[in-house]
Amino acid sequence: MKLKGHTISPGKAEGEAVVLEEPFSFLGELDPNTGKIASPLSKHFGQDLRGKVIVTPTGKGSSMGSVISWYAMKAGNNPAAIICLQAEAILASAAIVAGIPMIDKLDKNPFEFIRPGDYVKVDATAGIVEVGSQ
Amino acid sequence: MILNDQEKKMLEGEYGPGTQRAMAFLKTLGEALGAEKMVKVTSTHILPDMPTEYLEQMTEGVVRFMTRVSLMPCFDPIFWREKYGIVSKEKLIGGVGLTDEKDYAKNLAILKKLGVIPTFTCTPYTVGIVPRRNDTVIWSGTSGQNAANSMFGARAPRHSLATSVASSIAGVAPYEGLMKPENRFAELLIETKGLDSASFTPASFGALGYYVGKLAQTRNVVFDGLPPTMTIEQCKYLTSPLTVDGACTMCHIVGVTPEAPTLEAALGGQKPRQVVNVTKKDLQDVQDMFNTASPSQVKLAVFGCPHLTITELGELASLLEGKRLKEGAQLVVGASNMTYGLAREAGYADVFEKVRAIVTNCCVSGQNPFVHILGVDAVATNSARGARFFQTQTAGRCRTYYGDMKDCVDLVTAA
Repeated sequence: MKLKGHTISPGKAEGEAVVLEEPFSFLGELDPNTGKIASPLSKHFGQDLRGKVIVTPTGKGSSMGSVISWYAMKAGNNPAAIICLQAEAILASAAIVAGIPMIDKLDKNPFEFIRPGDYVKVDATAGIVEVGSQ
Repeated sequence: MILNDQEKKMLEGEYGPGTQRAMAFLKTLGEALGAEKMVKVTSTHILPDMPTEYLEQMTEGVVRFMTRVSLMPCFDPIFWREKYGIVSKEKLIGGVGLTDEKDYAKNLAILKKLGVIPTFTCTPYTVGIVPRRNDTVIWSGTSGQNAANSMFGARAPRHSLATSVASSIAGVAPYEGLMKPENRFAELLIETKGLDSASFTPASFGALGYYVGKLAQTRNVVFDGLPPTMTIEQCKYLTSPLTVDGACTMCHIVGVTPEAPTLEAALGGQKPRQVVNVTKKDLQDVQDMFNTASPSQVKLAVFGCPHLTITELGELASLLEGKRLKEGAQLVVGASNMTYGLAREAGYADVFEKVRAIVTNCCVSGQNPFVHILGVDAVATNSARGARFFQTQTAGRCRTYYGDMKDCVDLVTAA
């Protein structure tokens, strides 16, 4: 399955999908020291995001998120790529600052076509997402 | 994206590597957000607690910032060690603040050399950094962004610390989002008829703001039916939690905020996409979510998220008059140095000093050393924004008691 989208942060990456039903913020949700979801109120509390392809509706929360991704990058704890329905400026900045490939506005709803654990290839420069082929 | 000649020169490296990186970042971001051009920025507000290596890279070859740059609160490891003996072995505090004294001193030296105004506050409008209506500003700190748009009518799109740093260097930002007049109208109408908002306390406004922010996500909102006499402090408690579990950066309040003289004006003459009637139960659910600590567990009360105004410092002083802190209890108060200077002139500071309150210009929720370094696990606060940050930035270790200033003062003081 191939989906087409819009480049937010260029680059290529691949990994297992983690589907987050709620908007994502690097600050408060990603522990840059472990790469795990730190918010106890998240359904995915404790989920390891290192090397994973995150699917999320959009960004939320603090403007500091854009440097948490830098700290996580230095520690090797960032997600591999981010796919979202519609990017907002802070999540987009976090991805650009840390060189995380990120894509939005896919031609098909990623929440319908990407399941947790699916292997996903993201070519954010070309705006292409491939689902289910390792 | 179309760049003018000067912007092209920046991108090509004529102004040095830092300016080139700043423009490259702004161009990538601008294209991602669908901007067609850059616009000049008058004011930027940045947070000094950022990775030193990142700041060094971004400012390499930069001689002077291109905008009026003011500073967010930041964790000052030297202040906390010298005054209270608090030292962190971790590199970061609450996921953000720098605890390494050398990194902290280095960041401040770089920023001061480039011409920042060291305001150290999340409420720049309380220290004379007040945007004019239609000014384009790039402020870090999502509560300040919302205030700039909603309370002052500035063009203050939701942006990151990284954008505010890049815009300070390049003097421009992508023209998009809330900079465009057509993007500033409300989409979501919040009806408050059933809430008895005339008798709202700051905690009620905070619960309403948190509830609506989560619901609105990135959408602009308009509140109808709130008291037209709302003070700047009440607006602060309503708007600051809109961006905690949401990303709502434009909030109109009919009859209160400058772009909402009427409901029709706030909606731009269109019908709202959604109308939501907030109920008392909705607000009670938020209060319950923020009341995870029992009163007897609380040994720390925190005020100043966002930083207190001089009016609030006066209220707090009158609540503390003649009282003392209970055995083992602490009180942390966040305000800018300038506002606290006024409090000193007004005599309020004498009261704070007498009860041994800790007054600081750091961020009292995200960078509170009692919670994030010493491990205090129950906090009372009147801030919905703060309560949520204490919960999320400690992975749930820190429980919260949420109430009004008086309720929180009563928990940690005795006659």
